[in-house]
Amino acid sequence: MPKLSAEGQAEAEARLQAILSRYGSRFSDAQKADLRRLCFLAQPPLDHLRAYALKNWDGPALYLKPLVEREKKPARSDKTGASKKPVSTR
Amino acid sequence: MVDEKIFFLPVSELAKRIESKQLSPVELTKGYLERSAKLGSRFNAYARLTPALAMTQAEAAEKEIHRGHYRGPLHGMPYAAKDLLAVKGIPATWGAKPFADQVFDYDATVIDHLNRAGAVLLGKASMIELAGGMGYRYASASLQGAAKNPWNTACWTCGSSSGSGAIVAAGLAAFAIGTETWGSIICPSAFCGVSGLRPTAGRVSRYGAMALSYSMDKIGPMARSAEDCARIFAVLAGHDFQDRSTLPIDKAAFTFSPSLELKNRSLRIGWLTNAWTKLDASVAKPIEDAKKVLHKYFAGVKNAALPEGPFEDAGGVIISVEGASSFGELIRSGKVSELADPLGQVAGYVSEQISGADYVTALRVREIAQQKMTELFDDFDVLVAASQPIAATRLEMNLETDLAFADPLGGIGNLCGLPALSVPCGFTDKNLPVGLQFVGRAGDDYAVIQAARIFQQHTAWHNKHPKIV
Repeated sequence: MPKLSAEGQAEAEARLQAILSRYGSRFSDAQKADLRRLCFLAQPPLDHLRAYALKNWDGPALYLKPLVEREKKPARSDKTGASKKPVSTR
Repeated sequence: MVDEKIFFLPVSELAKRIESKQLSPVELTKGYLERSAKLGSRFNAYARLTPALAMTQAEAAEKEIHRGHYRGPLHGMPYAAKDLLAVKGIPATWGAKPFADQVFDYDATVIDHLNRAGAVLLGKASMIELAGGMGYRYASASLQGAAKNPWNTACWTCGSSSGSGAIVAAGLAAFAIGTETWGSIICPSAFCGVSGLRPTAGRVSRYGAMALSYSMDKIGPMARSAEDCARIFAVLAGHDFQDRSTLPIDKAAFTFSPSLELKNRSLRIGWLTNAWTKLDASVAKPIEDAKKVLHKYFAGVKNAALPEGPFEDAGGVIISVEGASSFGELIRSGKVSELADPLGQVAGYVSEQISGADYVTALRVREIAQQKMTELFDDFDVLVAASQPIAATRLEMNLETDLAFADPLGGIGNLCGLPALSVPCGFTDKNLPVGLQFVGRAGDDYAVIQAARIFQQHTAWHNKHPKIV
């Protein structure tokens, strides 16, 4: 199991409880244990993403297409955050 | 009676013989069908064969060619399609029990393109259930059972285009169509010792294909050489008004001319130093030898490094959330319990709990990844690394615990929709294939094909095939 902060553990537990409250009767004890493990494993990637210092104007890749058809954007002069230097890496 | 050597010839050679009428598409199709019927089950390679359709298409191709109407290099060419592609009137199981009886009344766009090119559908290739969209722990996560590697049937083909890899490696078809959301063309190509192209996202229409991840699914060819992949990709690629995620006409279409391409630009090759944390010792040697080949035949080979950031995490979150949506009905109805794999039965419930805010954060990180990769490609045309840090694994292996390693190149490559081509580059001491991966900037599929073709002009690994008796 990954080592999580207290907040991370609480979030993972809440995730598990949300699943069990909605679908609990479907699972065997072994599956519930597996779900708990998976809920905890899901936490580190979310923590990594949240720790990545995005600026407000770093928008989502909403077009869901590669950059092939878009012109390369020049770097903004006031943009010094993690778009250039990540805080969290793995 | 077709000689066994024929079954392992590349499309480019088969096409020459078909065009010159030395080889009959009908005889070739019969030969592949008989071979597939005899050997397919040994590898769990097929979801089903389609002999009636294949013979109809082969006879039509033969008549046309005899009348002097040759459509091109796929005319009369037998192939297999991953079982997540719709073919009118033929079951598309998506490798999963809940969809075992599913039949569509239309053809996927890639099937339509292949029909127009005169290709011959031999059957539907087996696959990991739902292309791994709900997660899987074992190679047996398939309605057809674990796909067995033709190089060693105690080993897996990798997934999710498992059957496609086995079919090409075992000479059961001239080529196969696979799909990749993250690793599903590159890994089976490496494990099975075949050449596989993951095109730039948006160049090949996904209309009529099972959706796992709306923003990361790609369709591409698996064949005997990079040149074959290019020829097949030229047929598959193109804008499709039925798939709004396809690129515009001028960016989606692909044309291929071997003679023109090789006289083209001088490629700047970046040898990735951080694609894998560590290579297995049995893989490291062939990869080191491949590096020497690159140094010999490419003018500029320099070390390169992937940008650092939570890009694998972003890719994982996007696939999980989009998968939870695309298979939402399966999760909510409880029918995920019918999946074969114990992980697949429960993982979707966890994916469903990831918040919208986290999903959008992942999309924002994707934008940063795209920009950083575009910057990296200012210095390089093609990045190169081992396709996988290991060779084919044992069938019974727990993939969740024993095959868990960081994959930053697969992560960022798929997150950014970059083209990649895996080619064989040697064997381990246990005679299992090792793959070399070429990755290009978005839209520059040509560069990865050119680099892989040059590599294959100076090596013969792609001509090797397993002994099957």
